[in-house]
Parts: sequence; C-alpha cells; structure tokens
Amino acid sequence: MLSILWGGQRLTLYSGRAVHWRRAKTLIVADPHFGKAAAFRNHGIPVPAGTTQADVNRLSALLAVSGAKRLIVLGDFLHHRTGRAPGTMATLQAWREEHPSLEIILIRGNHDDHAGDPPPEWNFHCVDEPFIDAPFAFCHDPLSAQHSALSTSGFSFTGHIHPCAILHDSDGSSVRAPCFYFSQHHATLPAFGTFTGAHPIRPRNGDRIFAVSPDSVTEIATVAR
Amino acid sequence: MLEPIEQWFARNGWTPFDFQRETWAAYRRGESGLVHAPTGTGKTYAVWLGPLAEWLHEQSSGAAEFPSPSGKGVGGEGKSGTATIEPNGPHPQPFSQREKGVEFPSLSGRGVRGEGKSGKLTIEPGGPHTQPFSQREKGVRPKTLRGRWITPLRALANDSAENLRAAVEALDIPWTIELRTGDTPQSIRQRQRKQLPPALITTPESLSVMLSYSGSSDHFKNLRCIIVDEWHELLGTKRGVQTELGLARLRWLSPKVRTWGLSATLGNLDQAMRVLLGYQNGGIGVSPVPERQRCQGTLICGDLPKRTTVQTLQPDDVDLFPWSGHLGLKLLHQVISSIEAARTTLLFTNVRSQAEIWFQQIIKARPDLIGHVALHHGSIDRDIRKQVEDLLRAGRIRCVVCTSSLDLGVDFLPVDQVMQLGSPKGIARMMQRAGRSGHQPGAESRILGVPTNALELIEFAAAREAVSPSPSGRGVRGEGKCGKGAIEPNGPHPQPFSQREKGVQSPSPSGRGVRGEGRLHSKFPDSIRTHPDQALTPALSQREREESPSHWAPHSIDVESRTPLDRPLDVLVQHLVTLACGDGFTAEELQSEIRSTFAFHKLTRSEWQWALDFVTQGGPALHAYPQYARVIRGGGDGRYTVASLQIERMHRMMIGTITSDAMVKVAFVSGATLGMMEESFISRLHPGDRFVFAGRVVELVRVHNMTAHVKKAKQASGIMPRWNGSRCPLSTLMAAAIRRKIDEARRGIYESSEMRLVRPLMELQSAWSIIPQPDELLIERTRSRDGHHVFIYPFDGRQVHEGLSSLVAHRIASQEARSMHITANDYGFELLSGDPIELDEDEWRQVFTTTNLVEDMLGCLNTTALARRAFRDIARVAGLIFPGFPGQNKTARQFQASSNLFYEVFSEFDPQNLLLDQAKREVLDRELEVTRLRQTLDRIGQSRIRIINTQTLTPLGFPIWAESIRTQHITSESWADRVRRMVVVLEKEAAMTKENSPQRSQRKHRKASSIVR
Repeated sequence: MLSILWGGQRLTLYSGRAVHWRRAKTLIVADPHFGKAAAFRNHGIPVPAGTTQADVNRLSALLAVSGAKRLIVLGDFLHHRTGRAPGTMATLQAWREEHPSLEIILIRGNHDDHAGDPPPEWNFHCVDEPFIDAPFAFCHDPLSAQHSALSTSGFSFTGHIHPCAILHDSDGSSVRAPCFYFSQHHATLPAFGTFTGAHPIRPRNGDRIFAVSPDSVTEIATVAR
Repeated sequence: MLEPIEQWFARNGWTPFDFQRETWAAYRRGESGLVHAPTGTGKTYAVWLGPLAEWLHEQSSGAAEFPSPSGKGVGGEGKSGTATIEPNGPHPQPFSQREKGVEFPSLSGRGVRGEGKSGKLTIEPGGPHTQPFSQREKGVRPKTLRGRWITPLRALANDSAENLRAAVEALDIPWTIELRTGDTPQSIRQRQRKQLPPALITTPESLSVMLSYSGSSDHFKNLRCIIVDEWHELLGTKRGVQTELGLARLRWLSPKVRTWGLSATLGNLDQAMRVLLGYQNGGIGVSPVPERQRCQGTLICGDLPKRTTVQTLQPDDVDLFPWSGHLGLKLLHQVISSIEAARTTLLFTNVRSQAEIWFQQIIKARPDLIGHVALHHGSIDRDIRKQVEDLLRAGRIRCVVCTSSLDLGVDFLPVDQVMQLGSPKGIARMMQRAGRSGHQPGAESRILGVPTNALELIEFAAAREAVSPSPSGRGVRGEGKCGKGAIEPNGPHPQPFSQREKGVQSPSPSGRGVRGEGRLHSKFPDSIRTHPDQALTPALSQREREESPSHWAPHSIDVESRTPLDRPLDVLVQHLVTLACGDGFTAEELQSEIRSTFAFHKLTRSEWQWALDFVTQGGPALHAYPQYARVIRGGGDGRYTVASLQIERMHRMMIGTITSDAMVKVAFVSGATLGMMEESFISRLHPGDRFVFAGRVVELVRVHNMTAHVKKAKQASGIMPRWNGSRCPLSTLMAAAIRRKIDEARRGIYESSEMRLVRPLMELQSAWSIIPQPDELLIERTRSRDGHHVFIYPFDGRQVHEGLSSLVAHRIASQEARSMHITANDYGFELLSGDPIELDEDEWRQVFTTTNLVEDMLGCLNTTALARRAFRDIARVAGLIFPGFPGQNKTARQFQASSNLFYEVFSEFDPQNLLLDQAKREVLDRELEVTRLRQTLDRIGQSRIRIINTQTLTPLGFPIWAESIRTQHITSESWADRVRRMVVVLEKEAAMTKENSPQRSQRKHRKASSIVR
C-alpha cells in the first residue's frame, strides 16, 4: 500500500486494487466484472470456477484492513446478464450478508446497463454517473468525466479502461502490470476483478503511474513522449 | 484404364515420367501413398490423373472397381456384376458402415444398408452402371464429391485449380473444380453446403469447417481420393494434425477413399507417409489397438536428380565486412548488378522485415528499377501478391524480394536466378528455394548466396558442401540409366518401408528393383511440363541423354526431417467441438477414429476422457465447471452434439490452428487493402506515425474495427515493423556442416572462395583464442565494461543454444546466487555476469551433465515466459480465445480474454488442466528441443573442455555479444517478483536519467538488470 495526497485528500492505494479515501472512510474499486467467468462458461468457453470467491475474499480483506464504512464501485459490477449464474449470485449474496452495514454505491457502467443492477435486497445504491461527493466526482467512463464540467476544476475517480503499465525489462521483453493512473484531475483505477484484462495506457507528462504487483504498489516514473 | 492419359500425353508429345506411371498404377490398384518429387516435375499430374482415369474408366466400361486400401476386404470386382461380402470375412471398415448404416458408396446408389448382415450385394438389374445417378453417358457430371485437394496455403489454391482444370478439360471430363477456402464468398459456400462439386480444393481449416456442418456423411460418401499437397509443410505442425484428424474422419465416412500426398525433400519421408495415411481402424473398441497395422502405403519417389549449385556474392573488401548483423546492405550494389544480369530473379530473405528493408533500399539506390522490382511476403494482401506472381510469370518484372511466401507453389514462377539473402539455415529449405531456378527437368538449380556477415560466408560454404555429395563415389551417377524398376503389380512388396528408411541418405545399389525407389530408376525422360500451355522443350535425343548424366547429381544428400507432433490436446479439443457441431459423435466410435491418426495413436484412456470432459463439463467430474456448456451428451444414443447454435457459430470462426497474433487489416483510407499486420505492432503506433509496409511508407490515420487506416506518407522514411515469430534456427544438419567447415579452417584448409575470404577472421580467432577441434568444447572468458563474459561454443544452432544457455545459467546460479544475462546465436552463447564465473573443467562438466536434464529444464521453465507463450497458441486452438474479426459486435468482445489471463486463471483455479501440461510439453519438446539438447550434452560430455581467457571479444564471440538485443530473460522470478523488481529498476533508472546525459549507452542501459536467482 502507498499513501498519496491528491485533490487535497489523503488516499491509500492498495495492491488489492482499491483506493481508500481516508476522510470519508470509503473504499473505492472499479470494474469487478463479477460473473464474467460464469458468462464465459455459459457461452461455451471453459473458465474454471473460483474467481468470484477469490475476489470477494479480497474485497472483505480490504474492507477489514482499511476500516472503510462505505464502498464505491466505479461501474461494471456485473459482467453480463448470462453471468448472473446461481453460484455466482449466491457467493455475492453471502458476501453481502457478511457486511450488512456496509453502504454500497454502484455507479453504473456500460456492463451494468446490460447486465442489470444487483438484486434490490442486496441494498446497493445504484446511480448513473457522475456521483458527486465533494471534492470528488465518481464516474465509470473517463470520457464522461473529461467531458463534464469536472474536467478542469474538480477531481474525478473513474474505471472502465482497466489501465496497465508496460514495464520494459533489460532484455527487451516486457511485462504488464495493472496500475493506478493519476492525472491532474482524473484518477483511473485498475480493474478489481481477477478475470479481467488490462489495457496499456499512454501516460502524458505530469501523470503519475502506480504499478501494482500482488503485494505492493510502486510509483513508476513516466518518460515524456 | 490409363490409355486416355497416355493418349493425351502422346498427343502432346510428352512421355510420362516413370514416377507418374507408377503413381497411376498404384492408384489404380487402390493404394494410397506419398509422392515425393521436386517442384515443376509434374507431381500434380502424377496424383491427379489416377482419379481422372478411374472416372473415365467407369464411364466407358460402366463398371466400378472396388479397390480397397489393403487389397482385401470389401467386395470383389465390380465388373462381375455382383459383389459378395463374406459375413465374417476380413473387412477392414465394416464397423462404420454397419453402425451408421452409411450407404454403401456408389455401388448401387440406393444405399444398401447393413450389407454386412446380408452378406450379399446385388447390383440393380438393368445393367452394370455403377454410378448412383446413372451417368453412363459421358458428359454427366458426378453429383457428389469425388476428389478433394488439400493445400496448405490459400494462395496456392488458385494455382492448383488451374492445374487440375487443365487436365480435366484436356481429357474432356465434365467435372467442375471449385475452391473452398477462407476467401470463398458466402454465396458459394451456401451452394456448396447443399451440393458439392466433383472436385474441391480446400485448406485444412476449410476441411474442418465443412466437417462442422451436419450432413457431411452424405457429402463425402462418394469421395474416392484425397490429395494433400505440400504435405511437408503441414507435417510437424498443428495444422498437420488438424489435417490428420480431418483425413481420419473422411476415411471413416468413405472407407474406400485413397489418400495421396505430395511432398518435397524431407529426411523422413517414410514417416511422413505413415502420418498422412494413419493407422487402419484395426481393432475397434475401447482398448488401445494391440496390433496396429500400418496402412499400406506406396512411397513413390519422382526426385529427378538435379544438382544444386551454391555460389555467393562476395564483398570486395572483407575488412569492411561486418562481423555480425543481418542486413547485408554492404552488398546492395552487387545484388543490384546481379538482378540486372538475369532476366528474372527471386531474392529470398529470411524474415519479412528484411524483405521490406531490401525492397526499400533497392528502389532507393536505383529509382529506375521502380516497377521492375516487387515485394512479396505473407502479410501482403492476397490480391497484390497475386498481381506480383502474375507479373513475374509474364516476365514483366525483373525481381521479387520475397520471404518463404514464395517457397511453396505448385508449379509456378520458375525464374532465371534465385538469390538467398542471409544464412540459408537449412539444407532442405535452401534446395527448395534453389529449385525455383533451372526449372527444366534435369537442369541445374542454382542459388546465389548473399552473406550478410562474415560468418555467413562459412554457412554458405557449408551449405554448398552439404548439397554436393562427396566425390567418393557415393550414389553412382547415371543410375537413371538402369531404367525401370520392377513393379510387382499386386503382390506383396516386402520392403517398401525399410528401403525408404534409408532412402535419401543412401542410394545403395541394393535398392534397385524395389518399388518405391523411383528415384533410382527414373529415367531422364522426354520433356514434360506441367503447364500444358508452356512451350515445350524439345525432347532430348538418346545421345544427349547419355551425355548429360553429369547433371544428375546423385541424390545422396542428407536433408532435414520434420518430426510429427504427438498428441496436441488442443487440436483434439477443437476437433471434438467441430464434430459436435456437425453430425455429432459417439465416444466409442470416435475414440478409435481418433486413435487411427498418427498424432493420437498413443492417446491414453485418461487423456481421451479428459478431452471429452473438457468439452462437456470443463473439468473432471469433481471439478466440473458450473453452468459450463459447450458440447452436450444426448440422452438416448449418447451422441455428443454442440450445446447451442451460438457456440456453433463461434466455433466455426475459431477453427484454424494457424498461430498468429490477432491480425489487423492495413488499408488505405481510400479503401484499397494493403495486407495484414500483427495487432501488437499497430497498437504501439500513434496516429501520424509512419511505418514501412508492403514496400511503401505509410502514415497511420486511425485504427477502427480491426482495420488500420493509413495514407501515403509524405516523408520517405518510417519505422520498420518487427514481425513476431520470424526467427528461423539453424537446422541440425546445417550445424554439423558448419562444424566441419570450422574444423577445416582449424586445419588450415581453405578450399572454397568463401572460406578463403573468411580466413583472416579465422586466423584472428586462432591468434586470440583457438579454433576448437571437433572433440573440444571451447569456453572463452573475457572482461569488459559490461562485466565478466563467458562464451561457450557448441556450434549447434540457436534453438539448442537458447535451451542450453538457460540450463547452464540455471545450474550455475543454483550453486551460487548470482545475476546473469544470457545471449545465444547459432554458434554459441554468452553468459554475462557481474562477478567472474570461476569454474574449472570438472565443474563445467557438472554443468553440462545430462543427469536431471528434464527436471532442471522444468526448473528454469517456471522461470521463463516460455510456457506462457506456448499457452498463447494452445488457448487459441482449444477455443478459449475468440479471435477478433473485422466488424464484430459488442457482444463478441465481451467474451474475449487474453491467453495470459486464461493461463493465470487456469494455473490458479484448475492447475490439473492438461492444456497447461501441454504448454510445458511443447516448450520442452518443440521449443527447447530436449532431445536435441541431450544429444548436444552427450557430445559435450565426450569432448575435452578448453577454457581460454581472452583479452577481448573474439571473432566468434563478437556476434553473440552484438546479439544481446534479443537476449532471453532467465530468472526464477514469478511474475510478481519480476514486476516488483522491475519497478525498482525503473525507479533507479529514472533517477539516473535525470542525472546523466542522454547519450548514455543504450546497451549499458539494457544490461542494468536481469537477475538469476
């Protein structure tokens, strides 16, 4: 984990791919894509079971270690409507029941539009972007954040693009690592889900990149292009 | 039966080659086999005219013959009007017919079912017409598929079609010949789904696609002949295995079918044939067949002796000649002069980027050659390639700069001159390329080598020696004179295999008279061309024939083998889904069909069960994936079918085992397509970036829908794309030939001009270090700013060296923690370390031991990205990855995930998955070539080890050092450790960049990290 100051607020970046906003006792994650493996299986693509359980375990651990009272999900909570498989939904429900007092805000993403909101009894507060809690705005798609009035004045958290950094090794090979991608006004979180892909980003000067390895978060220098 | 063909040949003044006649006769006898003949000698007609003659015969006599592959079994002679089948007699494929009630092909057309029970078949009264749709009169085309031609390359399909058509038309046979490849328009596919033409040309992928539609049993029941072209290209690849599985299915659907293959030079032709023909469906049942009968096959060798001459362009000044590198532009002007001296030239390069660079450089140096020089490689759009081929054929361009895209080809594009840019790498490959010149039978193939660095001079000298048999009298010239081999028409032929076993290597006189030794007996005949429209060369007179034997270099040349694949489960998984999409299958039946292929004849029961489980429920019973549905098992008959129409559609799009990156179409904004490009390259570009493609400098405008839209760039320079997977290692045989040359240099023998040219360099090597004797392993140690270098020279080819260097680094590091950096080339490898590696001879011996080889290799495997990389292909083949395609909708994209992600998820949540195992196996067998590695270690074990400390990099060491751009990363780190470490390194480097001047050595920069733990 790593602590930074952004938008005048103290933030903790966890290698479990979450941000803790200390003052608001809020844990922020993006793109869990729950049920993605199940949706794949449903479409005849073999993906082993177990990813959902692993992900909710990680989420519980993050909540415990950060002491957060509120969870903000920056969209794409569910991957696909065919992913609302009984097993997956049961796992998620059990997890919800373990955290009855946790306030959960889901900013709907493009996948949620299609997959639908979580069942009402799970007590998610589902909203369309942007969700504002000063000084921050919370969106799914960075483009909507940039196009809104927030683009130059405020500070917004976004997901959607699953950012990763390409680290070049000394031998010319490279390895990808999910990353937190902070520019002056926008912060994009890595995808939370285990079974999610990642998209290399092209940082500009002044951007800050925090690469995530399984147990650490490290800022890497960006080179001017 | 063969009269019409003979007459046609006679009308044209041609005389068939003996190997053609042999093939026709063998086909007539109902045999399957493999024809081995070089390009341009008429092998197409050897295999194609048999089926045509058969058809003509049936038409004229109204009789069908029942040749069965083994000469026994089903039926007697159709002529007699009745066919009897002994109920209990030996019928090779009764199973398929009985079980499925398949109509007995073409006997009565009425589909006599269960004939095995009745024991008797009666032909309809009213005459002996045997074709189902009473085509007694000539001119009625068959209503179902008779002949199927499988070609590895779509690009060849059109050429093949022309060839096949020429014969059909000349013989006045009313067959249409159609194509069915990935390029075939949807409307034609639709029609073909209902009604197949009498002859069809497909790729292996299209064959699979066709099997994925229901009704294939009807479509293929009358199939008589399958011909697989360029079989050597498919052998040893997953596409080859896909072909094997497809063939097994066709044989099962149509038991009478005969399989013929065409192959170029290979060291293991006998094995190639066995793979092609598969095993007979001997004992059918669940248990592995105890007595596997080899499918009787006939290996026919039409290899007309043809001498290959190797020459090289030589730099005027060897001092200026680079010690390493691969561009070779120093010889640009000499290359241009050579192009101008010949009417037509093929300039072969080893990789696509090299072709692009050379094309650019040639037209830059000589703008007047624009329009006379063209570029041809696999990524360029098919239409453009076709244009180039046509222009060359018409003699309207002088030179084509090309890659292996022009290695293949039925009979097309003979040229005056063939040039090879850079190391020939393999003997078979070089001979095949050389064969593009001197197309007249009996003429000499010549290849002009363009070495790109000093050591490649040695390689060309070695290659020349390898293709010119020693003057010791091996392979007596003029064998051709001995004439025809005795061909026993029907009898058992005792040693067709054992003979071929030695085949190419030893044309011992004892081989005479045995069938299959066509090469020894193929008389140099009157001229024949396979393109009837080509001008015919006048027949050689008897006298000329007598005088020309010096041109027939006896074929006692060792050429490379291709090892067939063993049990690639990803291909099996794909095939299972393919068949489930089509007519479905039952487990018991399919198991024996699958086991009849060479690739899966060793398939264990548990592997089979795993594959079935994988497609039906994901994992084995206890680890079944929830809600998983791909293939389902029907209730009543236990038939496996595909779970949904959507899966069926997706699967068809995924069929194909060609392993490549996702490809992006490159097209001008105005619309014209240039070709295909790896997505990984395009994704690194920004709009406005320029790059070189298809011989032009273009500027990226945007990427949209899997298409990179480009426009012509104003500036003349751009980034040179680096294509993946373009590296071709030295073959074992070439490596051995090079070792011989180096040993000659050691003994001061510099006979060829290349060796004389490289002499100063070799003498420098002797002075600064040594040239090792054949039974010595040279280890050089030196120091530089980069650290302590150890160079080790097994001279065994890059592939072996890459595996060996990983192993050595791993073993050294396991004794003493240290960081090391390794680099390999075709001659040896380098270990670079911060601290000196102080091992004495005994300790080095321990490092090179074969004890625990596999364990240690697996030990360093976890440490490399190799398995992950191998899994990339496996995931695609097994249908985990849904490749992108132009215009796909959003839904499709939601079901795409990278192979890396799959690898991680499988490793964590289903580690028992056999596909992971396969990835490991592939890396060991194919990539690291453990077998070859063991041989190298054995050789080292018997060698003396010479450790020499040198002042500086030696002529042998320098090229390896210079290679370090593509070093291999060897470390025991997990991905996590690696990210962690690199993050630290990046931080440091970033700090240093701020302090230091930007001119810091790139190389030093690169060498800053890489750790072996």
